[in-house]
Amino acid sequence: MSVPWVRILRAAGAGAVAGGIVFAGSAASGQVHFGAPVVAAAPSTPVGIPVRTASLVCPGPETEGLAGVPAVAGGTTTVLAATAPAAAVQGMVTPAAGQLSTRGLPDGPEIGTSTERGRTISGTLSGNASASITGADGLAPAMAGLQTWLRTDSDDRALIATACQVPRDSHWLLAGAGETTRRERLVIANPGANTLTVDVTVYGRQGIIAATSSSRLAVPPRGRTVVLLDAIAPGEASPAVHVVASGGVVAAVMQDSWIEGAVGRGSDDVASTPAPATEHLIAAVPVSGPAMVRVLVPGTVEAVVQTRALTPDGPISLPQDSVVRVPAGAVRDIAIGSLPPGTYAVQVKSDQPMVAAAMTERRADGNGPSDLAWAAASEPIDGVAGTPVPAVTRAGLVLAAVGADARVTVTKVAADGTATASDVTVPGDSVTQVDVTGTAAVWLRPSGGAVRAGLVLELTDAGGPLYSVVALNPAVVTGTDVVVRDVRR
Amino acid sequence: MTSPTHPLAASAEASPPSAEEASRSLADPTMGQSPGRPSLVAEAQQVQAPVVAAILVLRNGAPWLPACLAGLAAQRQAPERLVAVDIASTDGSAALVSSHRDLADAIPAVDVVRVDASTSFAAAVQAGVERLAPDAGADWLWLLHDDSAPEPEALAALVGAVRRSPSVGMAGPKVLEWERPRRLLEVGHQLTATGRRIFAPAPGERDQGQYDERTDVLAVGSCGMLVRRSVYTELGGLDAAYPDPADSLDFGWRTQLAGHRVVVVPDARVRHVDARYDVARSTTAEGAAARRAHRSAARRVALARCSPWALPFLSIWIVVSSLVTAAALMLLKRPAHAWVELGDIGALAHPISALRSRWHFRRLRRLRRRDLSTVFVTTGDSVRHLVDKVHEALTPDREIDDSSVGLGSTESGPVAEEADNLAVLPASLPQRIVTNPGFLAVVGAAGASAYGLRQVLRAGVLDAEGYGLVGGELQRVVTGSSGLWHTYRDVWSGAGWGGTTESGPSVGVLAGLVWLGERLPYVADGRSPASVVLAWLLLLGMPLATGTAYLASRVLPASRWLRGLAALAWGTGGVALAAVSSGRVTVVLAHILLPLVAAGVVRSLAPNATFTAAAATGLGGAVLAAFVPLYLVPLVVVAAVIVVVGPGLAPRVRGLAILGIPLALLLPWLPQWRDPAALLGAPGLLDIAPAPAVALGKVVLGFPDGMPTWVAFLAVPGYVAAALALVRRTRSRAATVGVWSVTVLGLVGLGVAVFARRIELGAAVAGDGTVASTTLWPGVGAQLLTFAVLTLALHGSLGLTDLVGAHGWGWRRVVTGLGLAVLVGAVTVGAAGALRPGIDTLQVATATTVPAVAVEQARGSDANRMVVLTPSAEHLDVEVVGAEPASVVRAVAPRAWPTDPGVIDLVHALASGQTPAESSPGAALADLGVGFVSLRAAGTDPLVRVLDATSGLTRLGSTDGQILWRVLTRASATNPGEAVNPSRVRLTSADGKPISGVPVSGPHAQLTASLAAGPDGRRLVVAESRQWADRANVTLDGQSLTPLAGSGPPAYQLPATAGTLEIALPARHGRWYQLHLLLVGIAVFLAVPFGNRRSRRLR
Repeated sequence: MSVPWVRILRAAGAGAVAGGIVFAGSAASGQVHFGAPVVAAAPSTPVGIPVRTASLVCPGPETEGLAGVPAVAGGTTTVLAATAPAAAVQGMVTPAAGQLSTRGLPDGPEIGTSTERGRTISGTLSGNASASITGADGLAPAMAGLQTWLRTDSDDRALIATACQVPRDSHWLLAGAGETTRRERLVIANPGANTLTVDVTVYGRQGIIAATSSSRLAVPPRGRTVVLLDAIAPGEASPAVHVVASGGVVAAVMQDSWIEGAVGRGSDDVASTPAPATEHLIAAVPVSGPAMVRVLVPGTVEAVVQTRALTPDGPISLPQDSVVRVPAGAVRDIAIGSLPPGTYAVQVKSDQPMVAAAMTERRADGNGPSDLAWAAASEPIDGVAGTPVPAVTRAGLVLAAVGADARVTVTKVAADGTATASDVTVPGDSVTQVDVTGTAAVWLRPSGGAVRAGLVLELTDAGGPLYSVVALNPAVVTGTDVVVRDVRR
Repeated sequence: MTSPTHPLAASAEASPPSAEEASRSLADPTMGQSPGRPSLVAEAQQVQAPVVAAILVLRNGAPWLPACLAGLAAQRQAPERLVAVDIASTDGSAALVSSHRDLADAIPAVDVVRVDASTSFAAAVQAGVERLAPDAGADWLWLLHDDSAPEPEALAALVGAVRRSPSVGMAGPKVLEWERPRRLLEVGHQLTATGRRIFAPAPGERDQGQYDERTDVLAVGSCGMLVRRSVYTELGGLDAAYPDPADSLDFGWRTQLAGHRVVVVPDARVRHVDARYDVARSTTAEGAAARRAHRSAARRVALARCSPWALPFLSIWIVVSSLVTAAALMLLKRPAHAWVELGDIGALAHPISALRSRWHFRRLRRLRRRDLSTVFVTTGDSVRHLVDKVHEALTPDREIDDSSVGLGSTESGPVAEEADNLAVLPASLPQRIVTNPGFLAVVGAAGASAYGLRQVLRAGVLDAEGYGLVGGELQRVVTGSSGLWHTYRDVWSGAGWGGTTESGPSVGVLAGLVWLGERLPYVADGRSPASVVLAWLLLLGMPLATGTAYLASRVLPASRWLRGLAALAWGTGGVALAAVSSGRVTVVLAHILLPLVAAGVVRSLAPNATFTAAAATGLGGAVLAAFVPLYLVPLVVVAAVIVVVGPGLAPRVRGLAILGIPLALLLPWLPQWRDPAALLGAPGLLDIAPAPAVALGKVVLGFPDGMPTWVAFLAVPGYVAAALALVRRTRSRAATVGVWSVTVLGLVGLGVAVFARRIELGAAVAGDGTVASTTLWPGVGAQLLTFAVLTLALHGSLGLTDLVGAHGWGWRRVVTGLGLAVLVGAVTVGAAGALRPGIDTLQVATATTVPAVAVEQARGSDANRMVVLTPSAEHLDVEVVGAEPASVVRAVAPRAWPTDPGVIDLVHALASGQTPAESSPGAALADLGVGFVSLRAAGTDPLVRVLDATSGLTRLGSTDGQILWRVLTRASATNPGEAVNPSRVRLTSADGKPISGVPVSGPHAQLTASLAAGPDGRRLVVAESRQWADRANVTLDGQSLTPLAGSGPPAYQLPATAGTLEIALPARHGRWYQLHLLLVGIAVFLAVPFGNRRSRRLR
């Protein structure tokens, strides 16, 4: 049999070509470019740029709008709005034209406008209405608002102050008590154009109070809804409320007003604490009588809560209950009234996320009228924060630093708009108070360290003490310049 | 010269049949009324037997003449005289006649007359008649052709018939086929009054006596015609103006008009070689020409013999009926028949001869024309005949024809397996199916596919109203066939703002497939029939590819079991698996088509191939190249080689179909395919960077997307078999060429596979929205390589069965058997092993990813879009989603997208807190035709708060990983009570306030709407890109509108008056579009067989 050389050569040739192709393919490097070259997008980092529009919502007269419960007359609701003076935001905001305006919601009258940075505008608000403070263009960054209510006569007498809020979809409100004559009003304002539903969850000493049908509320567009907490959770001794809005954002405050028999025990609003965390600081707690810190552990694990007070000279332990166990989902009040009178900051630490607020009372003597004040924990101020200051007898800005020392520039703005800046150093784990009486607004800007701030307002009145505490949260200055990528397919 | 036989002698011979007839007539009480039966009186007048002179015309008919002469000699009643007229025969015909001994014995007087070559049949007959002396006493002339053979009873039967009735002037025999005397050629001429020949019997029809009742006819053929001499003389004989056999038709018609009956006598039988139908006497072309001439001549006869006032109507009728019938025959793909039909019109081209015929006949007519009505075929019979013919043409070839016994089916392409198993396996049908290797291979591939895709099968991919699959290269589309068709057709198409980029011809084919899929129950009712059909195609890809590979491998005479094995290897191999698992629908379809097209090309070279099959191959090649344009190159090269050096004219013509049809159908894309990026980078053929690194060895073994090494190595036995095939002896030169061609194809595929990753084809959008560079997918080359390897291996197996089946235990037998066992094991284990991990790149798409409410509004007349926001740490992705589908599989991104009319700026402002205080972002979104905003993020994302606080948006709710906002309606500027929904097209006041939406009916704002009158200065705003306005035709009452200058969506100034607004997008290829559709129609027409093969032949 002859060997089929031709066919073997044929196969060998094909094999050789195939081998050559594979070898060339493995040895070759580089690419042939037929299509358009692809330019890789440059990596981008989001940067902050001044916002061009910002708004704050003030809750409005708290006692209005409750069906079946008459509003408390005789008091005046005042809305103050201010923008930080140019000096206070130098380097953060480029001066530009803009407008600051305050108007009642839904279509209420204009309360005041300003086109000058650093000016404070004020006006009164009445009826079942909230108010919105809008900053546009150059005046949008670094603005603040404050709502006050004052009545000096009758047993409804009180000084109430609350900061106007950046609306959001979740609020933790800790205020109120179980006395039968004590009323907690929950005011929820919806600045948006759509009807919202909010779910109100009430926590008490024994945990979550079973939700009832009224725990889901509708809030009309550009309107507000006021409810009595007793309608949802009657008789709870230590209520704490979680308000969750779906379909939009809201502003929410809870007002605690107490008339014991015929004696006015005072009222105050509490605003939202920061979201649950393992550490909170309540910056201004002016103790001169009964006082307590309320802690809610919303999670499912029992928390060990450690509380201490910060004084101008450093931290001190609480006389009692400096470490307590708080069951999961429960509220615990920690009495701090045995502290020596003075203005403290209260630091609360926990191994589980919790929220905290403090209440203080000032009683004149015996069984005379008194006032109470709620102060919620607040966010550390990283940029700038401030507040208009109403005309009161004494206004003190309390600055608290945790850990390291904090250096803060405090700018006081007079009614004519002149700003006076001073540098303040807050030693670590202590508080410092700055007297801001007589100013129209005060702004603070830390230049080092983390600082939290609260404002204590006092009014001397023959009828008894009148005071209120406001926690200061950072003002909105910049938005993130989000890098937007146009995705096409 | 011989003297005529004495009349008395003839009479004596003729009397017995007469007596017999007479007695029969007496027994029949109806006798005398029937025209076919002679009356007693006539019988009495015909006592004397007629004297018959036969006239035989010779024209080179020597092959048949002996039979003819023998037939003449054997006549029971022989003619008294024979005059043979020789038209210049050169084959010794005349000598045959003169020297025929039996003839001389039977017929006393035989004469031969020689005439010159230009003499017509009619003139030859006339010459013969003239030879008979006027006083010779011949009463009847019997005309015969040299290629006809009368049977012994023929003349006696004819004479008997004419003796029975003196009114008969002409009689004709039953004409039979020469070779097969049981088959009929003619039983008298059958004609409609308009001169249309009716072939009853059809030439070649079996003679079962079904026409033996026929007597009176319009005319009989000149072959075997017995005509009374006086009639012949009176009418001047045959008219040479008409070709045979129309001359006899004319003669018969004149005979009838002159008052003589023409009868056909079925008892008289003459065999005849008919030049029109008999290949022995003519070529097919000549036959067709003769047939045309005959039909035309029949019409001429009708024109010459009809009444003068009917002439114009008849002329018109001939033209119209010919054109209509020819058109119908063209539609039935019978071009040759249609050509013959058109020949009828040629009858009108002889007005002079018609007038001359009329002139000659002017005095001889004795009957009114309407008296002849009974001898014509009636309209009803004619229609019945036509219906019978159509029925016969459409009935499958079941009759076992003498010529086709044992050849099996002569059709190429996919044919039912029963066709070739019929003769081989006499087993029962279920048994045949179960033991069919192709069936088993398909079942195996289906099982492997189902096993590999078990995850998506469990997840509900079979839901006809679902959303199909997504993943790999398969992109999410929510559309149907119409959406895909618009993507294919419209000059502006695509998802989001769209663009002018076209995704190639494959979209058109896919649209057609989806349209077919929508015919299935439930599919068309779903929200996304396209994705459902494409998902099912992926599911069926592997079994279908296996099935087509098995059918296609029939062109190789290999063992059925090896063909099944190769088909299984093709259908479940690395390329098929990789294409299915990465969702490359186009490659999967190419995998199904490639074996069929290759088989079609090979088949077209066979002598018995059909043009229809070649056209189908061309069409398949066009579709294949539509999916993988690269395949156009080898297809064109191979087809061009066939056209140039093909074995014979017919294969070359078929090669031309294979070459021309793909080129014609893909003509609109050929210019852009000159760019290698476009030729290579068709949708579905891309690998987006960074592609997973796959060892070159695995790619070369046909696993382009990688696989465990042991699975890849299971392909090695196939490669070894292919290499051995190169060493084995090829059986023919054609086989050698085939082996070489396949080897070259395989090497090309190897090259493409090896270098694919080094070919950069531009940018494409990855699943996460990033733009990345793409390379060619190695699977395309691996597909070609696998095809070549399997083909070679299968070819190498030819003859192996003999080796294995041989007696004794030779070492070759052992080695071959072991090799086969290894191959079987490798293929089956490979099919199972490759699918072991399961295909997890594909996932079942669900409704949550595209909210149903957004889909409904996008599909409705508002046609609004949804903005999808996907935040990440670095950026916020913004995608605008409308009802228009994106490319079904990933395609190369265009070099530049059309400009965004404002959504990006708006979202940027919103997300960065930069929205101007006085603006309403919701209204701005509504102005951009955005109806929904979807955020793909957790509820804690800061954008949730931003969007919640944005005026004009209302939150609808959230589903898994997505929160949806609706853009609010706005009050109409003219009618505050009316809400204007965010819509693609709307009317606005001069200052931009919405008045009303305009309902949209097609993709990218195509619509036709009647607008009522409105305020002055109103505008039409179309939420599309500015570049869209350059392409779209926006017209009001036919007047073209031009967009106003500015940024943002295009706006048009409208008059206050009412009018009809039309927004249309022209077809992508302009006028080519219509032509292209026509070409596709023609190609499909050519490729689809119609009726049976038998009916396509000319008879």
